[in-house]
Amino acid sequence: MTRQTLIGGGVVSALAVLFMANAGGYEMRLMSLAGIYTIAVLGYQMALGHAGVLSLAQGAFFGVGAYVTGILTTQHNLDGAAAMLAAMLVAAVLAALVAIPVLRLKTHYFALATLAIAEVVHLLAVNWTTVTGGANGIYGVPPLVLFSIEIASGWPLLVTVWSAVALAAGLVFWRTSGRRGLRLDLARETPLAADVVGINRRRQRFELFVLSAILAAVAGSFQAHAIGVVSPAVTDFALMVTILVATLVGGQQRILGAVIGGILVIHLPEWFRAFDVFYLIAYGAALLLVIIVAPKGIAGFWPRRHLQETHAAQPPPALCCRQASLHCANLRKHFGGVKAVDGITARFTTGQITGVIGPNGSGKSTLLNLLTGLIRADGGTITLDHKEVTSLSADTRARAGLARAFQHPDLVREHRVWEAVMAAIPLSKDSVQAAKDAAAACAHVDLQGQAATLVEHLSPEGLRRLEIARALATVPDILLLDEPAAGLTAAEQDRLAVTVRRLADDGLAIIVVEHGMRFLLPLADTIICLDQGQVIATGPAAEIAENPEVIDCYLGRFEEAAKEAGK
Amino acid sequence: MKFSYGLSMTALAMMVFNTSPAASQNYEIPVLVPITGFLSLEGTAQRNGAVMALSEAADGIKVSAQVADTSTSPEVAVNALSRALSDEKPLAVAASMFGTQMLAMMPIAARAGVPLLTVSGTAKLTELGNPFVFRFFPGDRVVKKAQADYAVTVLNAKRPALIYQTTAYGQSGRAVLKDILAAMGAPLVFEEALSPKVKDMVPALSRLKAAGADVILLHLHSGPSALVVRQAKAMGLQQPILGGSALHQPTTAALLQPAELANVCAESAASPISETSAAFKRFTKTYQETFGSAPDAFALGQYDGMSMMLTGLAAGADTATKMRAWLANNRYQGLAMSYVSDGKGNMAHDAVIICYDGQSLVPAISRRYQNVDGKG
Amino acid sequence: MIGSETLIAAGGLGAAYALAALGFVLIINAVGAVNFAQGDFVMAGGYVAVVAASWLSQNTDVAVIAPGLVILPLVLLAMAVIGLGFSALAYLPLRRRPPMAVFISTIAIGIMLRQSANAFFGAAPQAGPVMVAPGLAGNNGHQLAMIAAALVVIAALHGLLNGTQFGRHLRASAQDPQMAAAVGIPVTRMILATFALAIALAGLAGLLLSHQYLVQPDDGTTYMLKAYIAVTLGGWGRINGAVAGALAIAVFETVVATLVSQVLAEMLLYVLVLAVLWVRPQGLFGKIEGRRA
Repeated sequence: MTRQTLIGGGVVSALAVLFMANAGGYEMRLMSLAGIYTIAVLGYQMALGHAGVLSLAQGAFFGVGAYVTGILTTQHNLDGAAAMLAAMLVAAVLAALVAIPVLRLKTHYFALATLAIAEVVHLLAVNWTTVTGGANGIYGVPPLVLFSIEIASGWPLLVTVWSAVALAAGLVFWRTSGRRGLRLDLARETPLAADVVGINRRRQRFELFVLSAILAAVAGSFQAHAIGVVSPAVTDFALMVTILVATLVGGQQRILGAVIGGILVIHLPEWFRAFDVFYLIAYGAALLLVIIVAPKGIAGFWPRRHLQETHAAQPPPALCCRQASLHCANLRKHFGGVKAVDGITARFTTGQITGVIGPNGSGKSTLLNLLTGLIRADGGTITLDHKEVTSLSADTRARAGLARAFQHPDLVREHRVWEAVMAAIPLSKDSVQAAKDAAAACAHVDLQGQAATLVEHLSPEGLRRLEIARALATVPDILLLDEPAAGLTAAEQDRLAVTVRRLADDGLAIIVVEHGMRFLLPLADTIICLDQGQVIATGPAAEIAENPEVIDCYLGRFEEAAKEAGK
Repeated sequence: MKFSYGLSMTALAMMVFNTSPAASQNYEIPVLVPITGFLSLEGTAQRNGAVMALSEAADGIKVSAQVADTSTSPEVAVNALSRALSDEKPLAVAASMFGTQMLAMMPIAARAGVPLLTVSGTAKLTELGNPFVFRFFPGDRVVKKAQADYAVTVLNAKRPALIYQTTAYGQSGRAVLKDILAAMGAPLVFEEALSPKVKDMVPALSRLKAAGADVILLHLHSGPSALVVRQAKAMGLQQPILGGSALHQPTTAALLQPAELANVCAESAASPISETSAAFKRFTKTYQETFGSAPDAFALGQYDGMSMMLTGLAAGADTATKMRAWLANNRYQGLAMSYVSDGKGNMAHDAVIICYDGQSLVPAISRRYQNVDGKG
Repeated sequence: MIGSETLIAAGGLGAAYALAALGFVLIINAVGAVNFAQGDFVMAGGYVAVVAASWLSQNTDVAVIAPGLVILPLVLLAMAVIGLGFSALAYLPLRRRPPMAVFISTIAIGIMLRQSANAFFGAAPQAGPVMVAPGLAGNNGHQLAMIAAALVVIAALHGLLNGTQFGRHLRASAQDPQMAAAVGIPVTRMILATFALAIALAGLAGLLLSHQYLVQPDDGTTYMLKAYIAVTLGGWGRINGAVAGALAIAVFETVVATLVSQVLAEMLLYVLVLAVLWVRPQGLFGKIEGRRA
């Protein structure tokens, strides 16, 4: 524990003691409500901040939690704790059911779909009068009972709610911090990169969405006890806006942000009471101000915590030594009438560097995307180590040993080099092994001294190397590089060629798509030349360079272009 | 009448000749009503009524209104009440007409021992055995009975139809009205629930027409009431319309042309602008001058309620406990009617039916129903 | 039960939704963000109309035959200016930030508009001016004038965007701001013009609706929701699609409410939205992939 944490903890405890000593019923009630909203916000952070989905159903899940609690405690004499568990279960099931069709939608469609769900819940709350009590709602919800102790409002409720906040924060911390958090960043900010390092984004989003609903239901359940009444107001869109506002004002990802947001959103209207009917105008203005001056919420003013490099620099261990092969046969992909890839057959094996060349639009990138699984083939087969992977998703193939670096580095700007690499390492590896793999990946591309550098401060060469390091961190057998030399100076290209050669010598099968013949011809063992989606030549680099057909369709043009550029 | 007159005189005498504690202390009376959100029209009327009554406290009694918004949710109402109770325990609280908010505030008020004075019509409030609720507006069992009676006996309804709101107000009134009409042998032939957001009444009116309704009963808020009246007339529906309290409000009538209001009546507790007595004229004039709008029955109900509380204070009920007992055990002649508790906190037992003549936006009192529930 | 009244009602509702959706879709195209305050601007337009009409009736002696039509230019102008102010508050400070930031700032503006209306005009519903006096065109005259005005505006907008230099610049800066800037189109000015246009359209919707549907501080949410649904069903960012989506919603709501009940109409609309998104994740008429909201 750092000194800062100790001091921070001390200050918070002192404030809490001071508050408890001086607060009356009103202050305690507000603070209890602030805690309740903090729980809802912690949940919402998982959906909005960590999974990156703009859900507008968090208020509905809050309402479901409140209604289940209200109905069970008043009509079925269940005690509060059991009712809360039931509320969590109902919300989880509902969220899971909803998630299946909804989670694949793009942002604004997702927002509308969740809004529609929330409206349906609201209409049910108002109109299904026999169950929900209609617009009047359910009254006389008894205080919460935990282990047969009644939690009265005032300090018992306050302490209980904030203990629940601590538990919820622990849950959020467990699921969203450290290496897990890095992988969430990757999936949210750079989804394609997440796919090719083997992150199952669908599962990640599903888990976070369901957890967010559960926390909303806990908050709703507490609120039912705190207010004693459950009415359609808890399913109203206004409540969703309150949670959204709290999350944005506090911060979308930090636990501290949830606490700040929860406290402010309850207290701000109370502080503005003096403005009479104008107080909600002031509330809106305050919100606008925060959005403008604090883009990451108030918690964003505190610096982000980075994952520290935990492994001292050591000579890099050898890469893999497994014999592996990737094979595609008669691979086809059409976009409308365009035959982007039209019957390509090729084989890539351990220790070999295969260059893929061809004019623009010849199908190079499509081939790479087909091999990595970012797009699905219309025909043909892809086999990895004699196992067919044609219909497998990108992340499954990545876990089977396929890795890829992108042409335009697809990295999270706020990560450090160390974090960007760690993000690619599966969670199944323990932290010691993960650190070893990350250190090795960095060392293999000569980035070992820069572990603490921020991604946004890296040079173009550094970014290119980091892309490769991230791919290596998955400990792949086959590495696909998309135009790794583009935009680099001659000296940088030469250094990169040495690195790539070394990786092949260490036992990787490497596929390089490249325009820069100066870089590729000396490097590649074999070259495949594509034109109009078909292989027009294949063979050793020296041979291909002499092939008249290749010169005609590609290299000739390339040399002319080089001359042009030379002038 | 005589009783309360005497009482007022006694109170006045006490104030003049006694230096009771009431004379030296300033009583802050919380007014916790919705002044923003979908019930802010009614809530603002409540606030105005309460503020006006408190400002007219007799010399020597120092009272002031402490207005706080309860907005649209029970949560905000409970916060407001808990804040109001946090300083000094108030004598009484003028509380929201939003039934759900009342249901949330009642247990807290009971625990604190502070009476709540409201004009909410929601039947449930006084059925829970909470001795701290005092309702100065006739509940659904009074006004809906008047509405049903007028529909059947005066408008000769055989096939009445009801359009009501999907709010606490609407659902509560509908349940009561449906039972009474069935008991009177004129069951509803058609009923439709509308969200307050619905602006297009043609679908509901088309179905109502097809159902062969002979009287259109409404239990809607202000805006929707006006929209139904206007669109019904535009569709050429000839059936008489007998609306809920919202249709007596001057703000609602102002949305319509006088001709559109022909053959339109409404139930209410009172209609201040229709009355011609000097006391009413003074009330209406002062209200208009102070708040820039014409008073309605909600404003008047809250005004009467707070005036009764002031009378109680003058009579020595200077603590919340004494005030509760005083309100529960005394009769008070207010401007709208005579108020007395039925033992459950229902203070108002009279209702009126007002009707528009098609030429003026000021309705006339068509029938007065006194002591409808027999508890007055 | 479905007669001419129902059709006119559906047409009026459709015109209302379409006008709200048009402003909504213009802003989506210009800045890639959902304007959550669009419905509140419809409401604000209604209040501007109420104020302008009462000013008109107090300061002119002649009995105006078509008060709504007379104040129409005034409302458009006032709302266009308000639109500029809106962009200065909610968009310009956030232009380098993701569209989500603009989305949230419009929520804040929406809250301020709603509460200002409540504070300054009170909660009581108010009736705006009629388009044409009832004596002139019968009972349905106002509704028919409303539908006609909406049609004219939609046609005019179509002409503006497709047939004028200004419109081409507007569309160019919406599709690819960097490219537009490179060829010398003043992108920022175009975006501001879009805001002015979008809010003026909301104002027009407010004026047209303020008589038929009255105006109340809380009206905005409904219009915003319907605009959002219309634009989504119509294909994100497609102007004709938004109009088609708006009409489809209005007809659906009116028909279901006439045949079954209003509550069911509302519920089924949302279920329908979910069903459509399930079957066609890109919207009913949508083809291309939209930008981030």
